[in-house]
Amino acid sequence: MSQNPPSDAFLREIFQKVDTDRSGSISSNELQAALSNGTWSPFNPETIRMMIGMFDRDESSTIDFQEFRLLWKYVSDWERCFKQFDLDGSGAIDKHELKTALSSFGYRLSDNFYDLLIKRFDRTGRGNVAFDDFIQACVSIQTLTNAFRHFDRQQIGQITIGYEDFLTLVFSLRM
Amino acid sequence: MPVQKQIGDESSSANQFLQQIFESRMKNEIDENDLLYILNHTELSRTFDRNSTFNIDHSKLLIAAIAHSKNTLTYPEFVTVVNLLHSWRNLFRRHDLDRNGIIEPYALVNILNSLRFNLSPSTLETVVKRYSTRADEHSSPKVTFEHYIQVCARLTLLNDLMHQKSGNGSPRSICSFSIDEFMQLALNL
Repeated sequence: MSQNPPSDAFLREIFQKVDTDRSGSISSNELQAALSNGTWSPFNPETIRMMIGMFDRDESSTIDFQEFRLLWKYVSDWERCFKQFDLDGSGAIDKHELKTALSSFGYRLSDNFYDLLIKRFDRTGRGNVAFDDFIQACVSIQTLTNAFRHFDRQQIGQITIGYEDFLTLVFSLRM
Repeated sequence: MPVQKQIGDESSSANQFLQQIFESRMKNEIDENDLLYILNHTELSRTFDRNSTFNIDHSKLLIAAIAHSKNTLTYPEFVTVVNLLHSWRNLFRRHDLDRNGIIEPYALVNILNSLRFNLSPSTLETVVKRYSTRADEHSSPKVTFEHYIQVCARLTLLNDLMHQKSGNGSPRSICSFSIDEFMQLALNL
């Protein structure tokens, strides 16, 4: 499902709505206030921090308009992904939907893994993940997969690794 | 006075103390919330310094490190956790003379070596850097008690895992992990 890229005028309007103190750039508080996870509770601050980190090119700790265009696309892509996998339209992704989602990305993981994943990222305690926690979970899986593949270039799903390398690998993970 | 022998028990009053605390949770095995409560809100908390508080991650890590594949502690496992925390506390105190709950990064290096985690210099450097934080941009990095417990618990968990998998966990041993195992481990850390 493709989408026409939004016009600059459209993005400007959104940017100005988010930039409530009119400083010309978006702070993490403003971003957090602007995004919704569908649960009436604040958007996951870890996810906010991560997104600012990803798109804050000039290291100002804030997002200017140019950086915002990329951030907006990123959030929209995740929104589309989330809606696609929220099969029952409940506004949250449960274990079965998560399994379907990750399987479609090519993962073959155990039931135990999915239990752990939900337990780790579900901040609402309902046994499923809202939009913000879904992003957090998927990005963490991407990080782990990349770290793993560093030692598994042929992607056979198995690594044989020495203790030192294993420790370095584990401690390099920022989850 | 009735003598109740427990395995590895030197002082029966210390054991009674721990037993009472454990039993106050009214369970055969305690979970992460029980352990956290015990560490922060019972008489046991007085055995740690004023600036030493534990969080739920510590609790989960400690249980994972000692109880391995289950997420609750039996009484003997609880005693092991307490003894471990006290030995880590003692090492920390040697370097935190003013008891403000922070130590220098080089102190962490010394402690990790004396705990015999057998880490290479480069791994030590990575680990210490990861667990050092600055109070603000003008101060130099330090290691807080919270981070200290976190790194000790994680290393214990990883060390035990390697032991189980390879039989000796020495720096020269190797073992295999599937992506599933690896991901589950990372989620538990």
